[in-house]
Amino acid sequence: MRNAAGQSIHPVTRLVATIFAIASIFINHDLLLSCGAYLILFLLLLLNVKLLRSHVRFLLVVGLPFLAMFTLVYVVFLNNDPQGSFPDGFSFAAFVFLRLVLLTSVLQLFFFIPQNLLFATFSYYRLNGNLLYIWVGANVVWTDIASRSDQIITARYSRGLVANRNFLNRLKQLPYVIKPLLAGIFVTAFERSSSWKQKNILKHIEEMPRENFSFSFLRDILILLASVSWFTLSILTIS
Amino acid sequence: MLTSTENISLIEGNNFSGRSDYLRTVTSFNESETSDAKNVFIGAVPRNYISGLSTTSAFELKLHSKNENVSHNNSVNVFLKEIGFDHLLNHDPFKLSGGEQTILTVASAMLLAPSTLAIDCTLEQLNEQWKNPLINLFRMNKEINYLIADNRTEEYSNLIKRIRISDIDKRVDDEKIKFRDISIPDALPDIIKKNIANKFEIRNLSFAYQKNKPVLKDISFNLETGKIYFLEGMNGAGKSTLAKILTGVLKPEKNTSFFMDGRKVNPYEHPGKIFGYCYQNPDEQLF
Repeated sequence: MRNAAGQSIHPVTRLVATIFAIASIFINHDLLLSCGAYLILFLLLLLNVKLLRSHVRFLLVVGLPFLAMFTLVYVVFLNNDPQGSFPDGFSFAAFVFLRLVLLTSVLQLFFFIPQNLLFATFSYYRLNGNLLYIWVGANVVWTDIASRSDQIITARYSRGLVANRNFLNRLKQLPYVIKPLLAGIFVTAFERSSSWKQKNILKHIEEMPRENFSFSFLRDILILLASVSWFTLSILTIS
Repeated sequence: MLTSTENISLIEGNNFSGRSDYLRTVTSFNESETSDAKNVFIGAVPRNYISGLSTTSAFELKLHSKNENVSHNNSVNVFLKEIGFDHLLNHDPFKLSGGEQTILTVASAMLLAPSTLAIDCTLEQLNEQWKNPLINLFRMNKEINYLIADNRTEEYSNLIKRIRISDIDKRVDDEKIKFRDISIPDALPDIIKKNIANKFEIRNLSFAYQKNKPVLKDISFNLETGKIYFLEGMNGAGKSTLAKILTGVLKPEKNTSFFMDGRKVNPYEHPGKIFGYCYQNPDEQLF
């Protein structure tokens, strides 16, 4: 996550917060704690308009349809019966939905590293050689996935293969997108990795002065405290 | 007009003659070992050669800069300023137009100060206002040998150093490649004729990717069936954007109107049905 001033989360905070947050999501079985955690993460998302926009899009396209589907299954088809430690079907459906959106929020906020900080962050974790290529390359692929999907959809629109822009028609494009998307990503990844090797670009970045880690000490401490507290509370809810 | 020079070689050859393979081979592009940027290859799709590690063009350039070549860096920076690229330095490299990405990848590669820079048909995406200064920059930086493959060879008429690919490596046997003779019918079948409009009018077309930053502003023109129109403009002027609006891929601003034989139509509601679109890089349309 980067704020308007260009500040980033410190690599240590990023790693610790991601580990604690993901562990908490899977350990915790308390609906109220999940709600509280999501509220805090949502407030953090509000600080970054770009992240917020993509999160809202995820909520509308994936999150809420999933909630509707789970509600249908556990409330209507299974008569709202208790599920595990949950008193009724709806609580369980809401809990599964919250897990999904919590995981997405954590990945958005902490796990996805800004492109220009990829190398610096991974080298901070003492990754080097081929391992560094793989990690940095895997992160760069996201940019390609986004632009490739856009190209494929645009190409299909421009050839009149998508009748109109309604949700169902867009959904129908998925099978047509996946195959060329994978092929395209592999071609680009192959070309880019060859180009990196030829230019020895990673060594070049290694030699660049480390000026990018400008971070807010207070914010990082708050993030660490929040993630550790969430983890501790999750452990407590088990007992 | 381009001037002849010895550090620039034009690689000539027909399509399928193996120009790309030649350039990849001489620059050891697909070698598994990491090299030290002695040779650099840039292929026909410039976005594939953007590092992907930069969120701005400025950082992409910085990533490639070698401190020990300060004078070299200066000439590249002066060139970028001269062609007006400096206002794109804060832009995301992946969101630049095809021509702008070409400039960025070539300038970045030059900053690495390689001994050979091979450019495979990438310069075809540049118009003369950017291409000529770029070739002049190549001439000034004589420590780099440039190998350029380009289908528009007439634009390099004064380059005396030309390498015919068939003289180097004739791996493709011309006899094995045959093209079917496709004859174009003189008259279109009536059923198609009925669906073709005679006149297409575009009125007050405006478009902006970002608020208050119009790419196209209040453009009006007419198109007639059976005529070939040549759309001319600087790199990044909005040619592809205009084509995408006509095809119905992008939505223009509200006051824009389209008329087909006097009848109001909306390409955005019928994407690809009124206008078709052939991409700058065929690689992007093989879906």
